[in-house]
Amino acid sequence: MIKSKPKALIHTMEKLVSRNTRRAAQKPTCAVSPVIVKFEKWAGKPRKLYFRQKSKLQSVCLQSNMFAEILASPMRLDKLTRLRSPRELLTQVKLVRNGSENQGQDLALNLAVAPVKSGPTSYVSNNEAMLLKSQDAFLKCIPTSSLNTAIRHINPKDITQPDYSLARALKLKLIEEVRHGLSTLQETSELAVAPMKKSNGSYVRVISDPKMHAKLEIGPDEVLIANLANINDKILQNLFQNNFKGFTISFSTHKRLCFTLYKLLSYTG
Amino acid sequence: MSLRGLTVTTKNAIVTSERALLLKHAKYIPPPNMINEYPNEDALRIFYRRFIRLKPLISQRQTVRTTYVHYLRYKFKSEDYAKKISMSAVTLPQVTHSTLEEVENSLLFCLKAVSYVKKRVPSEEIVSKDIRIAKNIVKNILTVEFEKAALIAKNPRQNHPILRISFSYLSPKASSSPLYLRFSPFKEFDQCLILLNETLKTRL
Repeated sequence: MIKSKPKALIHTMEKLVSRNTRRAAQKPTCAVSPVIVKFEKWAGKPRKLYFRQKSKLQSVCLQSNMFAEILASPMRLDKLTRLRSPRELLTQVKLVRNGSENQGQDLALNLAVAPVKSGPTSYVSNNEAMLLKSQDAFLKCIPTSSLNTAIRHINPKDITQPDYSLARALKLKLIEEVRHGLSTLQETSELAVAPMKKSNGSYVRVISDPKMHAKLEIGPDEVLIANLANINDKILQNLFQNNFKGFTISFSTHKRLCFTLYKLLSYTG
Repeated sequence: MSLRGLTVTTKNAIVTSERALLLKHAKYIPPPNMINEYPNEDALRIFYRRFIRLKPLISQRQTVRTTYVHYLRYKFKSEDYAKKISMSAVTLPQVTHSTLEEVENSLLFCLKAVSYVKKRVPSEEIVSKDIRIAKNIVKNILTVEFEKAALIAKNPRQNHPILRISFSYLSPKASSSPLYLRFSPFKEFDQCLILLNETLKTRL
């Protein structure tokens, strides 16, 4: 037989359950709930520091800085090393139609020095040694999107083997672009005046001085000095024969030429 | 889903449908004239704290936040920046900047990357473009650091000394070795970053 609870215990339980003994909820010490005060913490939106006017933080101008523009370009995958890098430090490869249709090989790989938006694209490292090493495996550079297309099945045999290796073709293109840019500047005498104050990376001085050891140097006035002495091209070197001081180029007006110059120098070493 | 144009304004922030705009910046911005007023070690600690406080503002993704903190820890604790410069093919002017000044400028750069300027104020377009460039640079640095960390985790015995201690991948002779050729995108990126640091007097 189950024994009933002792009378004293029944009374205590009744007291605990009864309304009279229920504890009143504590009043919050703060006037407004922290859920509202710290709403930004749980709102799930990206947090930013808000400025109602231009402040000290915005004093440095990055738009005229060449290196800032290069590093801020969108990241793309290098097909050869499988690592990501800013677009301006890589070389674009496009699959284009070949002019002559010989034996069904109507496609070719085209290297673009200046990035072009249209068409399927892949990117390769802007490094001569890397391209030379992988010159036999040029099919690696074919844009993946063109291989996956349902419109036409592309066989690797449809792509023409380039006459030059990709490494040589790219070097020739870069030199040609720089040569063309510098000769146009010389003809139009659009050269920038050497800056009097600190230039903050917005000017490039192009010289050809075999005595200078480095290819890239930052001068005391913060001008980037690009030394093209190692580039073995007669026409390009002839441009410097009458112009010992070299060319001073403003980045803000000749962005593409500055990028190509930087690419050429980093390509060869 | 939040409605477009709906804003919640509190004492600390204005929360719109796209972003939360913080109104109180005191704990992120370094105190004025800090370099002269505090001893070097204390000043570095103060900067470090402020960098860490920026973590929730850098990204909402946990991976990016972890990469950011690891990168900061590496920069403050173990990086030999002078060696990194000497290994690269870049020649810099002899004038040296103080480390604290460089760290302060780097903090200001990061603050710029996470800031937002009110629309239609004078020169708002220029400032917004600058902010976008700074944000992209920080994002790209973290992407590269994430890839470096992944390679180090794959083969720490080989890759850690190359990428973190000797910086031999930056050397101009590195292109002759197939091992270093694999790291050529890192070489290009870091070389450009050194040049950017020199022009902005930062140490990113």
